Amino acid sequence: MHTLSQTPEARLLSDTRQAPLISFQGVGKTYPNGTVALHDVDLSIFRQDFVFLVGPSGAGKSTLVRLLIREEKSTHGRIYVDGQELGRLKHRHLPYLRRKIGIVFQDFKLLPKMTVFQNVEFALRVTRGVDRLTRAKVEEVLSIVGLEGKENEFPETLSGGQQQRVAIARALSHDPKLFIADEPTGNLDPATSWEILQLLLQINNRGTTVIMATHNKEIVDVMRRRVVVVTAGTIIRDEEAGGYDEAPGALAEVANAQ
Amino acid sequence: MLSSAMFAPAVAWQNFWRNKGLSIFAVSVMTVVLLMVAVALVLGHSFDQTIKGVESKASTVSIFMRDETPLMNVANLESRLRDDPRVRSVVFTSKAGALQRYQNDPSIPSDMLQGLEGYNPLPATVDVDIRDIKDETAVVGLVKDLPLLDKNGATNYREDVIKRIVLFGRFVALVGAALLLGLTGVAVFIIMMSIRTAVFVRRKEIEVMKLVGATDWFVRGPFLLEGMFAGLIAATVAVVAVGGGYHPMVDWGRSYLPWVPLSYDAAFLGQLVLMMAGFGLLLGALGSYLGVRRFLHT
Repeated sequence: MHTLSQTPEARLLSDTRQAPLISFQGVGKTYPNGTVALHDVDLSIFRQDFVFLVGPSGAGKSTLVRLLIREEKSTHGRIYVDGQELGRLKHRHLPYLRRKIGIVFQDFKLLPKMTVFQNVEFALRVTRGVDRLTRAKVEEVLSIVGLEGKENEFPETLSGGQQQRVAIARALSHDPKLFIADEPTGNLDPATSWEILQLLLQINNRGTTVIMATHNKEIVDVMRRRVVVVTAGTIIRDEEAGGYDEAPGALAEVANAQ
Repeated sequence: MLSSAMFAPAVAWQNFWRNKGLSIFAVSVMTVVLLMVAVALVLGHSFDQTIKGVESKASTVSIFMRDETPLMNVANLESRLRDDPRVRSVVFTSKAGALQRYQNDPSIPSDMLQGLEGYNPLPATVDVDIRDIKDETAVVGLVKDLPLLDKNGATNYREDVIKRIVLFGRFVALVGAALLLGLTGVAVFIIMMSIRTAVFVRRKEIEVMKLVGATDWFVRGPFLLEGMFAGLIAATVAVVAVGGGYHPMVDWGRSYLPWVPLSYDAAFLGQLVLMMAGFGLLLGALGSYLGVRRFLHT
């Protein structure tokens, strides 16, 4: 179990002068069909944090992610990202929020008709246009993810791990403050999953806040980072340096459910 | 590598070309609609010219003066009418002038003129040209009760005819506007559906664009250009077809409907090109805007 210095409350005390990068304040989400996805969620995530978001399928993890990128609006409560309240964010300002966030998914979302280089360049083109620095930036992020020499290949010729690396490079291209990985290892073998995780740690070490939603028990247990467990739309555990199934009661059920 | 400024046009052209079948269908339907619009515009213009021709004749009222009317009174009447803002021009023709005009009219048979030697039955006339045919009744009302008017003489003022012309003109304008509105709606709908299909084909690319922070206008731009491109092609085909058929249509009208004062107006062709190009671009842009709109706000 966490020590006093590791509890979220202690963290809040030590970070009183630093505003959280992300703050959920009594956030609830009910979908139009009546499904309640989140109940009164309170959560603070600070700059340079690395947070695992775990929980069974349908627990509300994806809703949390969708709320963060404002693909959905909360039904009640407030969400702040980098000081901006998302509920009051106008539609036309949404792109500028998304440029602060890099996001990768289980299914990579690469464009099959574009090469590796073009997939990454595409993200720069739509946000700031192409200039003389673009090629250098694309090469830089491809080098970070270890894909030098693969620039002219098409996604279908790459392995799953390599495709996820391209997606990560694309998400990194506009230097996001927040990096969200939604089940990034869901389609990958264990060895490749570890490679992707190492990459996310490297990104975190460069100063970017990372949130990783995952079902991968082994990774969470070995990494001993902050763990937020969501079950039935409620955060049942928020623990520094936690494991996947260390909590009593409901968490054991979560682990067993996997 | 495409420069940023060329990105939207290049993507628009790529999409147009990649979805050839859909693009050709959209352009074909728009061409049919724009052809109908162009035909409606040409017919409307010809009708307008015809109405104006009839109106210009009907809007001239001839006031026949009694023979004993003092010249001073006629001058006063002329002056009063000239000062009226509804009146375009006033022309006085004396009895002698009227006779001379009658005698010089080639359509009058010479045996009819022989009986007029030493006798002039024609009255002096004040021809009043009224700017707007709708004001004719009011202007005539000013003079019809004057004692100097020859009540026995006929005037070419036909109130009922004028009312009918004005009414018919309004009816045609109303039907034309309704027809144009309906056709515009059809064209916008077709473009909207075609762009919506194009959006569906490219949904993954758009999803990525939105995720990485593209603005709505960046996503919308290529689709807007694609729709405008389709509209411009359709407008070009429609203008070429209708422009080419305009002169033969007027000739045909003149030979089969000689009583209708049809005329060929070359200057109108220039206006038609501009109107159709503008209309095609507007339809394409509007249809595309509506086609992408729903997707951008979900």
